Amino acid sequence: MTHIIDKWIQLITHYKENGVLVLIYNLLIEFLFIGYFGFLSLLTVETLLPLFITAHISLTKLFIILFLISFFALILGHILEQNFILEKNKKNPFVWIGFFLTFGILFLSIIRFPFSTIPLILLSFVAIIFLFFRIFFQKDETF
Amino acid sequence: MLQLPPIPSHLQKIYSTLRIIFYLSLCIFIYIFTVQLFFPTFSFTYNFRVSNSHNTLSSPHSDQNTPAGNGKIMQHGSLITSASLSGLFSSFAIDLALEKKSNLVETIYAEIHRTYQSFLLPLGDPIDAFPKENLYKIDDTYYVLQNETLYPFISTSAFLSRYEESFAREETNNFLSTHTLSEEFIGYRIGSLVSFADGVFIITSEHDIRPFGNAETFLALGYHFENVIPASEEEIGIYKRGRIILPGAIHPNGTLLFDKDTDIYYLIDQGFKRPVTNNDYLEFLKEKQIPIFVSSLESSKKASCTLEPGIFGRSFSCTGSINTLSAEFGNDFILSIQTNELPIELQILDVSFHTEKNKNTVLFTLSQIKQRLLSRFGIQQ
Repeated sequence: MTHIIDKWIQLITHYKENGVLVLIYNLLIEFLFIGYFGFLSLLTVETLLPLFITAHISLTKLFIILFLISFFALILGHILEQNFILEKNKKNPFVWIGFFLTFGILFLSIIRFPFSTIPLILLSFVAIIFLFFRIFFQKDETF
Repeated sequence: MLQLPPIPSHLQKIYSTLRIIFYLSLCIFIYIFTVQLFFPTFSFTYNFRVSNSHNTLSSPHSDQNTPAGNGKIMQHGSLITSASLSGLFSSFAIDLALEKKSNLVETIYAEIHRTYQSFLLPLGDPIDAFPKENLYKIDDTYYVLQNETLYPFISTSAFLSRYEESFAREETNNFLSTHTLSEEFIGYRIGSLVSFADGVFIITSEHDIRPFGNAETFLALGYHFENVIPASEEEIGIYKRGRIILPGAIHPNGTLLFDKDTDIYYLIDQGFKRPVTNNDYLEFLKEKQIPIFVSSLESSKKASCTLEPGIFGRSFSCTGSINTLSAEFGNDFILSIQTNELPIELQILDVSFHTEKNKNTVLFTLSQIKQRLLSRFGIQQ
């Protein structure tokens, strides 16, 4: 068993040194970037037109594939000592795309709800956004 | 945009090649996906060995209306099944496989026509009178007297969905004290469409309602949003909610059909389509709703193909054109498989419907998208 692990470590080190892992990592990140962007676009269309997309392609399966590849890319990034740090940058167009997409979906979700429940939905939504913001952007101050 | 680690110079060429391959594959995928979105192919199947939820064709039956879930077709007999889908289709393809123990035949004949399943129901007795009851109005509540018991209507709107206002005789409260008053309420006319909260329901009996799965199902069954009556919680509360109505459902009791070729109105009732011959009742029904349009001429149009055997003689296939079948008068494709030689036993039956790649199909898909978007925002055209 130790022999197999050593072989694997040797193999990984070899590919890390000759740059093959960097090549795979870069391709994977590019694939994931386009994949998640495509997934969000399809999800938006599906929200507007239920079954229009899912009648042809399973969004759940697509997300599982993207999630597994992300996990693989994370391991690869760890081997290559690459950190994928999210930074707050108002100039990044993707921040604004995400912003409008989020509020578009929120608008769609409340459009036909009873008026009395809308404040509750908005409150839950803001709370979830705040939670995600803390998770992704808050610096770890426990150490 | 993405801050990625640098690629060693000796791998630059491979990296560029792989990126080109990746982007080319992406373009091909997007192209295929878009073509599939605008010119979809819908496939339906029935496995006669296992009866399960994967069977997307409706339960097969013989031309004598006996169940044929075992796939057996008698000599000179036929097996009938159906698939429900809305849209414009140009061609169909049928593939079937025979059981090992089945007789081998040289050809099998297939026929398809497009209609609503309810329009194929047997003809029932004509409705030649307005259904009349002993009706009363006391204060602002309407009642029907049945077996010396007064049944109150849940609302004026419910009463008016069944009868003319003039049918009710005004009475005083003394009339109430001389009769037994039922705690059971009378609701809307069976077949009425009602809406509550975000859902649309159809009244299927005096005690049951069924919700529509979605707006597409509602429209695919030929119903009109103009016929939907907004109902209150109290009005909906007297009914038990039944199964969701999905595409392929047969129109429930009380549905009004209008055959534009014969000018006959039919009311669906207990497995029959009954012509409405009473003028007063017909005028009343027409005033309350837009009927579902059917066409005896279009329904009788058939597309056919002859299934030829494959190499081993057990699998058969054929394709045919369905351009001539109108999409306006029904979304149920009724498929009939016939054999004239020997009795046969089917194992699997697959049917697929293809759309033609032309401007009309694109315009039709775009109009459907527009319609769905508008209905998504509660705007009805």
